[in-house]
Amino acid sequence: MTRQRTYIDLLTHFQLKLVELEVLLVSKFLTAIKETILLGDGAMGTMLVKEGLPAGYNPELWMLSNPEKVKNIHKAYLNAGSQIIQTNTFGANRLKLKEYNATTKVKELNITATRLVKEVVGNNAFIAGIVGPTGHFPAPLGEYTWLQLVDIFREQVEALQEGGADFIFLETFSDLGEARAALFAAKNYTSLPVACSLTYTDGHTLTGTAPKTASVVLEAMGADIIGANCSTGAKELLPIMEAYRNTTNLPLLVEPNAGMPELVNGKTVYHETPQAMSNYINSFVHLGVKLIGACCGSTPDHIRAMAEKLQEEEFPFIKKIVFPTRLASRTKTVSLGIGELPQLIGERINPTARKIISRAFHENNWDTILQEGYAQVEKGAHLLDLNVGVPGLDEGKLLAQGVRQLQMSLDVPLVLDCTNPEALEKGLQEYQGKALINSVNGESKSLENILPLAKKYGAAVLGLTLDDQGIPEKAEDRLKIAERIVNRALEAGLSKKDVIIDCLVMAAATNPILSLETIRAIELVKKQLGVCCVLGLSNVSHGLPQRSWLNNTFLSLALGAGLDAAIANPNDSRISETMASCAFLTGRDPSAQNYLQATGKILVTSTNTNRPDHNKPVSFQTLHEYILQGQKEPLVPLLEKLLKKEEPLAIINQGIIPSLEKVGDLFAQGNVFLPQLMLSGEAVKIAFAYLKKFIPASTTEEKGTIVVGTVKGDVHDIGKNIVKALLENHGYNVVDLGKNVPAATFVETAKKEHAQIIGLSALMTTTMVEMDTIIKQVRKENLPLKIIVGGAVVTEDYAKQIGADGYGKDAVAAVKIVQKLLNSSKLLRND
Amino acid sequence: MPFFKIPLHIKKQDVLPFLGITTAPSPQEENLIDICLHEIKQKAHPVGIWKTYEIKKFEPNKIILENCSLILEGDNASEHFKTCEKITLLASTLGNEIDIFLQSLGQENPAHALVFDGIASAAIETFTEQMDTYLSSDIRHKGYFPTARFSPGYGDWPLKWQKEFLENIGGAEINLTTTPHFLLQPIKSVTAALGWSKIPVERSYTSTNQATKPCRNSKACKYCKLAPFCSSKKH
Repeated sequence: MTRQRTYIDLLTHFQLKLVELEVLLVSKFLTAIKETILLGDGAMGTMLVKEGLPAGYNPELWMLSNPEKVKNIHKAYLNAGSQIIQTNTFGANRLKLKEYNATTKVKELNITATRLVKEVVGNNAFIAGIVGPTGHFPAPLGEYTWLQLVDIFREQVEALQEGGADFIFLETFSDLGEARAALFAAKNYTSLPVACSLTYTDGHTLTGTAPKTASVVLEAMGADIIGANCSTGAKELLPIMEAYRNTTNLPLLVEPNAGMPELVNGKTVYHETPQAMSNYINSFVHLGVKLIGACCGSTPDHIRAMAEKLQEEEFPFIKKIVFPTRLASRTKTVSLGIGELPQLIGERINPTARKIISRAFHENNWDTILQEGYAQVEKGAHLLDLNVGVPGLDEGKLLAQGVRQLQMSLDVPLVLDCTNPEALEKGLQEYQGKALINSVNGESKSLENILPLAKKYGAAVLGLTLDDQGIPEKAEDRLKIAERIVNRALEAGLSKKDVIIDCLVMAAATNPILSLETIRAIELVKKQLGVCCVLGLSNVSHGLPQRSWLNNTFLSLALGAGLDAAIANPNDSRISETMASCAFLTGRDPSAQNYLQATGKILVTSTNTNRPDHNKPVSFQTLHEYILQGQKEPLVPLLEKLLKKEEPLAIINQGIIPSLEKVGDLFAQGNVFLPQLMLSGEAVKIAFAYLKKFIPASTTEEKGTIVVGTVKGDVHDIGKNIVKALLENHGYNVVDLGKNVPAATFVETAKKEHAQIIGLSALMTTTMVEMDTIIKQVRKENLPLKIIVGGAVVTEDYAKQIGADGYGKDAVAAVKIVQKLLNSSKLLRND
Repeated sequence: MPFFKIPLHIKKQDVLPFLGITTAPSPQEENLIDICLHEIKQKAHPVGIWKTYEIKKFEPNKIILENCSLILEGDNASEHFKTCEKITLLASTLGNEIDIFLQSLGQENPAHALVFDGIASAAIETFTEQMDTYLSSDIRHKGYFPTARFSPGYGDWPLKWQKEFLENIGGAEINLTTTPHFLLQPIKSVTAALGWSKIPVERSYTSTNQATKPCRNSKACKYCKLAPFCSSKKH
């Protein structure tokens, strides 16, 4: 017995020592990052080519037979001043190596690459175990599931750790979902610190993530250092790093491109010389960047210049920022807390009380679910609750599918409404942002099951103030449960910002006084625990008429007590109104900008000016304005009034036609653009259609018939449709044959309709030759028809060459030609 | 076959050139643009594919690829890719729903159709540009220099190669085909070749003085990268 205890004691002691040792090792790199600024190295790809990597060879496989050449590169960077040397393993993952039939070499390559760095640097630099993207985004963007990608990265990061890397450096990721898979693998299958760097173009990653959202998600997933590399030059990465600095307190890293040399006007231009690049060191240092290196196109000379600049720098004190609670989708961050606007969580995707949603889940009808999502966002939801709990259906499968579908189409963050840990985990794996888990409660089982998942997948939790005893009546008892939830969350490694408490509202119909206990509980939780509060609002009015009255009044009370978000029905327009009003009155909207916008007093100019002013004078001038602006809505009411003092023909001749001509002239002068011309035309069409009823048929002039169409073989008809619309606006009878029209159809229709003109359209050089065929056929039959041609590639020269009677460079020109041709043929007839 | 599928990331200012709007849009135009931007996000299902080939040999006025029946034919393509060792063929499309929607709009709402058409053109251009950025980054990481994209129909590379292009790259997998006149279907689609140059190259185009280039987007003609070199009178 004694002997056994001694053995266990020894084992425990040994394990403890191992942990301490590990912490010591881990902290060596992290401590260095905390205390100083480390200089990374530069590009590997171009250096390998310089060392003789033949075209078409895989850089990692080539390393196996040319280890000394790879070591030469490491040496060059070390000598230039790099304190971090990266392994040559950017593409050493199973998927990249598949292209070279080398999937079995992942371990060997990663271990060898790490060993080569170690042989060069000894203890003089840290070894960054480099992990690059696989070239595949997680489904539904790519064909591999998120878990498959995690497995692929796992294989690589484990090998890098085995080889002796000091930290895992995930770099050049252009999709947050894939970066999240790599980060998950590195955090869960190694004990190394992890740096995670994304690549940006025009301020966002390829799949639309801005740095302010990336920082929220990567931090939640446990990244130790975050930043940006590759992308562009140092100058362009500065605003990216500023955005990171304003959204995280984590150490930052930056590795800009030196820029590949390019030929400009025949001369080789280097975008970032070593000197130019090093000039940015000061700016990066003052943003709190702790790891500075360089990417594509850089050389040891760049690093040397940067090392010199770094020596001159004094390290500034970077003040920590206190951030609110933040939730995120892949592309959008929503903040909750003091000083933030209250947020509305749309509750409508829930099959429990809605048969249409239940049926959609049964039938796998994701269109209905998506439409429900769109509708709620349009009505003002800032987040969407997703509940897929349908008896008899696989909740995990549905939650994963639901997350995939919604996050692909909508940018609001999701609230995963699920208490089944297995199902919830499947949803969390798919979610590429920082989700809110709805929910945990004060029961041990719930906390044990759900909190580790929140930590593992970088989510926040919504804690309900109930436990195995039910919902306490007294606010103080609810506070106790909330405190238990917060403490357990902290023990699980979450922060207070990751916990949002729901003090629970019960149906007022059963005991109205309990509603005020909820309000009191909110005040207590906010004051004593300092966490955010949310409420599932609609329950308060359960079983009562005029639910909106109760919901909104209760919402006002709760917001007054400090509520940060409400789970409610966005279709109730009062909810948004109440939220905007309360936000203003509780000081969350100090300049009233949100309130004014909600009331429609500050709106995008288009909506503002689009609002018709029905008090305008009844005059041709007003008609003219409406037509020029393309305002359809007030047109008929104006015409109704105008008809009381003017003849219909006078309205047409003095009001509409001059306006139409004016807009045509403005278009020709370049003062009005085609969409506006078309909008004016549509307004005219409405006016004509209305006035036609008041004009005797005998007095309307037959202006002429034109047959139009896109020639055979061509499927583009947008231009032809514009010409058709404008001709109709001018009162011509237009017969539209559509697109891909054979020559014979043009000729036969023109004969049948007694048309005067055929209008031909073609967009491609390959199809415009068909115009020639049609003209020849018309001439062969000696038909009294004029033919006009137009379309993107058609030129005036070509029109003349094939013997067309007219060429319109645009729709207005086409109308003018039609007018001219018809006038001349009338003159001929009159002669 | 790798697929490229990312959500559309399209901003209002990106679409104005495609609508021929060179100053601020009118309030009514802006309103319609907002509506169409909302619609395109729902109706476009952008997807791309690519495949990389080694260059087998350069022949006079043509480039032959390894294990690929597509020939990069013509003086312009030969000049454009003369420093390359590999070619990545890429194809992208917004999908058929755009065509159906445009058709339904075309007759009754020409202004709406016009704006939607322009925005769809901007969307496929933006999407292809994103795909280009992604592939170019990989090319640079491997120590090569990406050329500008070059498509069948540019310069003197006949459009008839569109069919061969799609057959080799597997266009059917993204439901991308051509008409008998070699127009891409769905209509908002792009095919292009991206070269892997051994030496730095201008990411622009060599002169297409014999150009019979059928422009993809007449409305954005003056913004076309080929504009300075195109003999079309439209530029």
